[in-house]
Amino acid sequence: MPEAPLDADDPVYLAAHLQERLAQDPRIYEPELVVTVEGDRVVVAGVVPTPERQVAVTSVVREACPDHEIDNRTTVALYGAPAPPERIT
Amino acid sequence: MIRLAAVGDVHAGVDSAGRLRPRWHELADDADAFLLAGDLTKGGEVGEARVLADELSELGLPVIAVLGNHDHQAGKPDDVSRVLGDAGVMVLEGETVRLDVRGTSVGIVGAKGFAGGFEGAMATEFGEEEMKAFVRHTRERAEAIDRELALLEADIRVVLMHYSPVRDTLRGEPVEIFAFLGSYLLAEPCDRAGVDLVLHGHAHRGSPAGRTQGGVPVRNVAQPVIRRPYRVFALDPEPESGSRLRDDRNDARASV
Repeated sequence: MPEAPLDADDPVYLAAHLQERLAQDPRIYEPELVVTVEGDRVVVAGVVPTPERQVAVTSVVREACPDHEIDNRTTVALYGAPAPPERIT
Repeated sequence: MIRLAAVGDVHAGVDSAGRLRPRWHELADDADAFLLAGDLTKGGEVGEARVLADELSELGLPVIAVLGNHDHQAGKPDDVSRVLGDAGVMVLEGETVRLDVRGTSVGIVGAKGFAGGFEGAMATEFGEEEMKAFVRHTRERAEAIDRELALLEADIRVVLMHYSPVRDTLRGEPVEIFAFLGSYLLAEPCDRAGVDLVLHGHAHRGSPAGRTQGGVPVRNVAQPVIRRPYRVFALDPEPESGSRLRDDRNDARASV
């Protein structure tokens, strides 16, 4: 269910509230995403586990800030090939 | 030599179905056991645990896990543990599992751990009840690790947790949140027992390697840090270590 838009004029507070939304929204649940607000532009960065959750980041921010431009710079988790074992000494 | 594969923070959701298993299909060739360092699910829902259980089924090696904060989000951590346990995953919370790997005994103590910070920048059990409860939760997790290690005799001893026991593996995270990412209380029992390795997750922007004050190697295996399906750690038993096993304590056993 879409969430109500956020009511915060100060970009610092707005970024903080957006970070809370991204941490607490069941579509995402990612507390480690980094949010900055520059004028009318919201930038979100960090790693998400799946492409679906990357799309959900844009949805959640759009619901919270319908009048802002959204720059979703999140990346989907990289899964390179397994590395050789590390010997622990 | 024994080989332990590990990863944390896979955050499995219903959208993870069919995506993790192909990345883990060579595990049985690469390692003797697979350790999951918490944040197994996205939000601690039973359906998410079922997806992960399917992804982990029939990998052909023992799977040992601890829960993370994400696995508590829905308020059903016991259900998450039960679903995974039904699928053969050994989910530990202040408990020990011992494996016999080609004649080498491997003891793995597992606990979620918790936060509070590190020497010089830490919370204490002082003031409001909420603050006392916060730190007490960490202290109780650390005491459980201490109790288990005091009773564990094995050729190789490993501690698996979700939160970090050291600052080293948090480098890269904002220093302001270190106190929410781990606690020195978790390192103390590992040093006291002189374990061989500590594995943790939780710090997505942290660093892969560090050591405790006492020199115990610590590895952050959070998936966003290792950027691989898992890391494998090879350990040899100390030449002077005995192989006598205790029979009166340990919550689970398995043979490899």
